[in-house]
Amino acid sequence: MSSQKKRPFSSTLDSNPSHAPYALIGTPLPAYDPEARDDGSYVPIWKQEVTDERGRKRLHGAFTGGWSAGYFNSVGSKEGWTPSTFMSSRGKKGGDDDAGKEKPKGQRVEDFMDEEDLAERAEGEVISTQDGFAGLGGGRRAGAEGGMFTDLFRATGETMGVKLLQRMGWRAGQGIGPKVRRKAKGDEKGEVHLFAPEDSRMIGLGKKKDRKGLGFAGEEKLGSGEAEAKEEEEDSERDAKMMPSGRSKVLVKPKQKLKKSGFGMGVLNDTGSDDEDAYDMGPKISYNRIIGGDKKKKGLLATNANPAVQQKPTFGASKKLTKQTNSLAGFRKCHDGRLPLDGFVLTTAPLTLLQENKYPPPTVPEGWQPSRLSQTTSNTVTSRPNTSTDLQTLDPKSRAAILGEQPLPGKSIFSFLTPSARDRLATATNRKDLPPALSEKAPPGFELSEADRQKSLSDLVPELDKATAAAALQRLDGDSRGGWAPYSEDAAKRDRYRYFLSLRAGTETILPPRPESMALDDWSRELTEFKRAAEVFGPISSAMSGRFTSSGVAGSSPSTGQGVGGGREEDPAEKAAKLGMFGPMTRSTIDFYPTRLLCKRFNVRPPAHVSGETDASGAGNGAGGSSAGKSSMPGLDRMIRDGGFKASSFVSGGMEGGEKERGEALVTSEGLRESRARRGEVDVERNEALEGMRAGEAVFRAVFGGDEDEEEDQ
Amino acid sequence: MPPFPTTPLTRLTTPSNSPIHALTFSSGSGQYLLTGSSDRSIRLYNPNTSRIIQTYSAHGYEVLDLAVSRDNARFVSVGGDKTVFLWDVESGVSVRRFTGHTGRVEGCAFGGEGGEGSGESVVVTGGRDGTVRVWDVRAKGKEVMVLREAGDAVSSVVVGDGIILAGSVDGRVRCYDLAAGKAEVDCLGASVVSLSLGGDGESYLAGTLGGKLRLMDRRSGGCLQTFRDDDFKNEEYRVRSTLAQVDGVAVCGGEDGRVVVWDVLSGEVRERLWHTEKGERGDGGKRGVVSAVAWNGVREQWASAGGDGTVVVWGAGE
Repeated sequence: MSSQKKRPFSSTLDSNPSHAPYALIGTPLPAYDPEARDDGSYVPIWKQEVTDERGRKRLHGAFTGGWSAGYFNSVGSKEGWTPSTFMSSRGKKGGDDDAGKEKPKGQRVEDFMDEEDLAERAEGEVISTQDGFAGLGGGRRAGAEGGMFTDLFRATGETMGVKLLQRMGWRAGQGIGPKVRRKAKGDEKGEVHLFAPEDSRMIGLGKKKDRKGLGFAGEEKLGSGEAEAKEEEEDSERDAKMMPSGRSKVLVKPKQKLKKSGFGMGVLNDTGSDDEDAYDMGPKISYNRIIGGDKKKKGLLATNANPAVQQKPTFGASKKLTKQTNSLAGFRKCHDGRLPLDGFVLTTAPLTLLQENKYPPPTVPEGWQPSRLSQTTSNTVTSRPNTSTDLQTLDPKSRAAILGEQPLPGKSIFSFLTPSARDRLATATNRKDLPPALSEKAPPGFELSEADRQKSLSDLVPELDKATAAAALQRLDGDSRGGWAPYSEDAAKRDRYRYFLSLRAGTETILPPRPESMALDDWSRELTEFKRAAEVFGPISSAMSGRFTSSGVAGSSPSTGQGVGGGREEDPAEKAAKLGMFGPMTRSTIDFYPTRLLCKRFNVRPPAHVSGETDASGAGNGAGGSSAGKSSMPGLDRMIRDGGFKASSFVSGGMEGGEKERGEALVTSEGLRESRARRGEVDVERNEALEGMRAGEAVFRAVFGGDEDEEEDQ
Repeated sequence: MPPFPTTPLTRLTTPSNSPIHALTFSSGSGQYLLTGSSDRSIRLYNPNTSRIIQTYSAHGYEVLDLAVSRDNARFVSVGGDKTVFLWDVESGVSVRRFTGHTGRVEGCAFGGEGGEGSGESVVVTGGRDGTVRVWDVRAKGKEVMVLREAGDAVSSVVVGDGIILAGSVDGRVRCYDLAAGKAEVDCLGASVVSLSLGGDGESYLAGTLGGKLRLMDRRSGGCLQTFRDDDFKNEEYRVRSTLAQVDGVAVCGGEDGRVVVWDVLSGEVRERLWHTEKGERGDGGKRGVVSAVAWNGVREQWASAGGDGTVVVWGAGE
């Protein structure tokens, strides 16, 4: 058994015994090949490594041996307990390429994690972009800074535009444009410097994400409201900052006052001069010294009796400023942060176009007469019909009458139209003011003759195949016997249909009458429909009748013969046959094209229209061809041949014919062969192979009885 | 005029008693009788000994018509399996099998001129598919020609001298003249169920539904004689008629079990013979029908076959 199993490997046993010369039983393992994949080949034990699927040197799970340890999974190494030489990794720190390569290879967190840990970590991972993504995530964060470009480009990183601007000398927080020559802010006596223009705020078109009404600021006491209020303040702070210095001067004054009364400015105050607002430049940090936010602050403001103290707790000078500006009636800034032009006040009421009568045109006083009216115009006005509706009702004719024009000599098309046609036109165009139809006759010399009229009418009657019409008519008539025919529900229409069919079938010659109620168009449309119906319903029956012979032909019982054969009675041959008038009436001749092979098999000369042969050869062949006529000539030829073949069959079979005939027959057949030879014909009728296979006389005698019968017969 | 043989000589029965559709004497002296019946087999009888010599079975359906070649070596049979079989008489095996008809084949005939010592060269068949097909005996395979003029089933075909006659259920007999390349269509007014050609080839007898047989002039298309009788009924079934006694009489079996013999010249009935043994009227079903008659001119005998599965050979009395 075992030897049988190993038989397939016996060749390797024979061919490669070098590494296992003493293997007498069993199959030696193939030689070790480090390149080959591990297929059970022999590996020295010290080269065996236990690795998991990640290539980590690990041995088994908890139930199969635990961690690998030491040399051959034993504790220790080849050298015993000698530790490997200590190598400091100090020099390999940092950007050293070699170190960078080695490091993950040696120790990674993953190396010490098993599958569970890895799965856990994979679960905990959240895929996200590294930074706020333009337009998606970072908008809010960027918006904290505010300003034109941070609003425009919602990217946290520097966009290309910002980089370009920076190259051109722009810095964040500055406005764009040529530098402005002015004094430093707050420095009224200092020299004039070139300053970058003030940063103007971008119009922020914030997305509306809530379902609150437009302009709803939110409940002030709620947390969200607070946040919004903060934002508002920040905005206003920025607004103030952007104010032109010239204008802000007026407003700055109280700020100065504020400063003096402020306290706790501390270190920040030391760096700059007293005049300067320390928080006007540099990092725009608004400090809130009071815990609890603005609302509390406001409350404090309200409760504080001392106006001086009132200002104390706030450092946001600009905040104050906005408050004041807001408190000024009508003093608001434009949407771009600038103040409105001098002399203009921003409206508080929304500008709507709906209020049209808000500024109505001045009313013309009663009885006012314009003094400048000329004579001509007044004339026109008076002569003109006073209402505008009259204008519309005027047609060219009445207009001409008003103008006193001569009526045109030509006639309108309406002169020739019938009133009914005019009515149709009027309904089609929705105009009631069409000129009256006069239904005039055509001018002399152009009248349609009666024949022409009939012809034009008959042109409207669509053409239909006569047979189709007849078939459709037959089908229509057959409807009474239970078949289905068109228009069975509308008797009048069906009559018209029948008339149309009989017209096209040839039984009627007069054009179908047009009902009074029907317009010419409808009439011709209906006729076209009839034609289509006839085409659909006619050929089916004719095709069917072609496929099935009606029993009227077989007509044994008179009832079915009359019933079904209605359409087939027309066949005069059958009529004549029924009457017993056989002869030319019942006989018809059709052309028939026998194949050449068929003629050959029948030993008949193919007819002229099949063979294309001329009669000349036949005339030369046959005796008395002229008297026998064209058709009898081949017959004569045939008779001669018949004689020949009869004789031959008589010779072999001896079934019929007399002894005395034989000689003549043989002679005839001799003559026939001669004639054939003259004609150069090949005797296709002779098949030596077939004739050779004919059974002998004895067999026939055995099957068909003895000879005595034949003798009796003869 | 010789008397018509009216004595039943032998009564042959088929083992299965199934209706016989086709009946023919062998060529020449007509010693033997071939029957084709509903039990799908063809039997070769020797009427003298009342023995079945050979049974030919290959048809899958009823055998509807038979024709024996002139040299008695072969015969052709057609049937409801749309197939035409050419048999070797002696060995009892079919030597050719022609397929092409798309309906059951109802009539067959040998035709054409064979070589010396051999039979005819073609087989002409007509079938319910309305076609007449001409097959080459010598070649396997396709038909030599298909004649599609018939408007309905072709019930019987007869081959004459260079002519093919086909009688169709559409009430017409089409006579294809190969030499003239013309086909003459004679309208008989009723479905043609049997055809037999006169000895001179100038007339043919056509049996039609409605109980009328007509002797038609092939040249002019005129009706030479009409045979009818009050006792003769043929309304439904295909019964075969024949001319006998050198075209002196017309013989046809009726649906009620009688065979009627008419005098051709006068058109009067000469004999009314009961096919059934007891001489009684059939039950009206198809078992009572005398479906085929065959005339043996050499022996002055004739045979009639009926739906009851019997063949009666008639001859002159002793």
